[in-house]
Amino acid sequence: MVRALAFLRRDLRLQLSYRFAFLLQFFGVFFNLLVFYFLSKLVGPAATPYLEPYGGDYFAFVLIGLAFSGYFGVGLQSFAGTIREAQTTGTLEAMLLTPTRLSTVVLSSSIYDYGFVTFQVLVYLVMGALLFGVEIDGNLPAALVILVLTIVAMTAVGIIAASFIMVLKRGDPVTWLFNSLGLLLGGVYYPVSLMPEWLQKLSWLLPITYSLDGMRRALLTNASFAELLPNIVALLIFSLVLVPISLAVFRRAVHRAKVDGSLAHF
Amino acid sequence: MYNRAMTEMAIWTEQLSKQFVLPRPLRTLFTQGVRRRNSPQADAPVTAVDSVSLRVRPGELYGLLGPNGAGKTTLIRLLCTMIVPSSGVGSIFGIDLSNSDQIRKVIGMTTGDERSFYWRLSGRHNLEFFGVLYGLSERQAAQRASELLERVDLASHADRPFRTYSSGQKQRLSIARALLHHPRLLFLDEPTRSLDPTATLRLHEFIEQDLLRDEGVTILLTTHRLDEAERLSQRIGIMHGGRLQAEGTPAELRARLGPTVNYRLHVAQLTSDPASLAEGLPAVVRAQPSGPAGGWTLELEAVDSEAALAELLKRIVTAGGQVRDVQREQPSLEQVFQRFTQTS
Repeated sequence: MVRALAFLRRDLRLQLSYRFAFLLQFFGVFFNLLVFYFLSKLVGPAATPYLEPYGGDYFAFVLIGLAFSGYFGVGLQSFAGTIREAQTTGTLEAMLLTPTRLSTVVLSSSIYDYGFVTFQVLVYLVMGALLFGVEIDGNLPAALVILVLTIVAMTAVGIIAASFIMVLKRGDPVTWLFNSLGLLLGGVYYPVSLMPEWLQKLSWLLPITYSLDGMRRALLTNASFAELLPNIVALLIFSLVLVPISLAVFRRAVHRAKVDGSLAHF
Repeated sequence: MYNRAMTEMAIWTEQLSKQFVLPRPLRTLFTQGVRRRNSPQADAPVTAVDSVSLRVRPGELYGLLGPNGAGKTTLIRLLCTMIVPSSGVGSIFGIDLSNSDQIRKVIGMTTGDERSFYWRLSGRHNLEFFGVLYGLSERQAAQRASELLERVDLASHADRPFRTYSSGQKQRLSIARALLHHPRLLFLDEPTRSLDPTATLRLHEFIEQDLLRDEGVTILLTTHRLDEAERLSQRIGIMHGGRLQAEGTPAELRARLGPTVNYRLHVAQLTSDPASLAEGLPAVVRAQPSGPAGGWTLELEAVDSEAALAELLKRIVTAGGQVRDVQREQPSLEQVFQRFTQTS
């Protein structure tokens, strides 16, 4: 816990040392919302049949997609990014010389990112509600369960990605695959039901699809736990399968890098 | 037998080796296909550390000398458990090298690499962060950071960003970081690489007085600088080609050169080339012009030194030169270094 706090404090200090970039991130949220607000005016009632399971409003639909897709980004990129950045800045070796384990370094380094994305989600939701009139009055406990399971599953995927970075140094295929497929198939900007049936089947192989679908139904239509059970079970299965795989892959990657002597190379 | 030797030594290694397999060019993937790592067709590995058996006693400063690529840094990384040995065994204060978590509690390391800090954080914040990683509580880390900043003479710069530090200050902060958790063994990897003479002198004093005398820390120092190794080390090991070619005190290493003796001669009014005068002598003679025309400083290195010196003096006088001064000198550590890094 002390170590986790030390990482959080380090990252906060580093972020605040880039004050302008820190501020710009919040403007980004506002401009993103504006773009999709006007897009939603264009989409109009034509999209209503596809959006019916989520309350029928495109702006509310995309608001949840934008807000919560941040968690996928952090899960996917934070761990690999941490290793890559520490390799290139030379701090990885210094950290590895301490008795703190690499897994602790990697996991603790993502706390700031998860904290920041949570803050960003709140900003999205508050702005969406106050400035654009989106009504969010759903099943918050269910949304929270879905969120926790999403974070666990995506953390596991992120650790697998970090393992690739440890060995390959650049260009891990996991991040590329999940990023590309997630945006295309996961339903961030449009409902999955809009795609051809074979693509829809493919989309259900991704955790993001279950997560966004469940999150929207929980927050926008007040779906009950029973209605959201398939989403929760799917995310639970993803977590149970991916977490042990990710830990085994990570251990193997660390050992391989130690044998090659390339732990801190980049 | 090994167990007792292991626990008595700060560093103990037996036949420790490390081989690396270099990545093959991408085109060979198409011409030769995929080869498995351990297959008979696999590429021959490069040996970075070759059967090194090292003993460093507690409280000792052991200097490791060697040219670039000798394997010094790889050996240190093996001892810091950053890489896994290919063969051989080793221990730090009796803790096997496979037990990296325990070893990292008792070792500290500092390199000449300035990149290993957060440049936008202050020296104090850097130390506090790493202190927690070394297992200190927040309060302990803050206290220890203040204490060390004082000791390495950085207290007045403690709250400035690391990026504003001079090379000497960065190096001192690196040493402070390595001392955060009171390590019993310190690896100093070329600590004076980027320091000016004044900063180097201060660092040498700190190592001798604070670390060795006051704290009794065991130190393994790698350096290219022979004067530094000679000044600080109780024993010196010379590495070349991954092997530990020789080790001993500076006097012992000189003695291993055999009965070689050096003479330095100052000669005046010698118009002929000194190199031609030395032809056929069983000695190495190096000459440099010095002073007014006809003035030379000659260095003579020979085994049968007195006969060679007598013959050279005779030839100088015959050629019209005047011998102003003859000094007998002991072989330099440089000669020792050259002997063990050139003949292997």
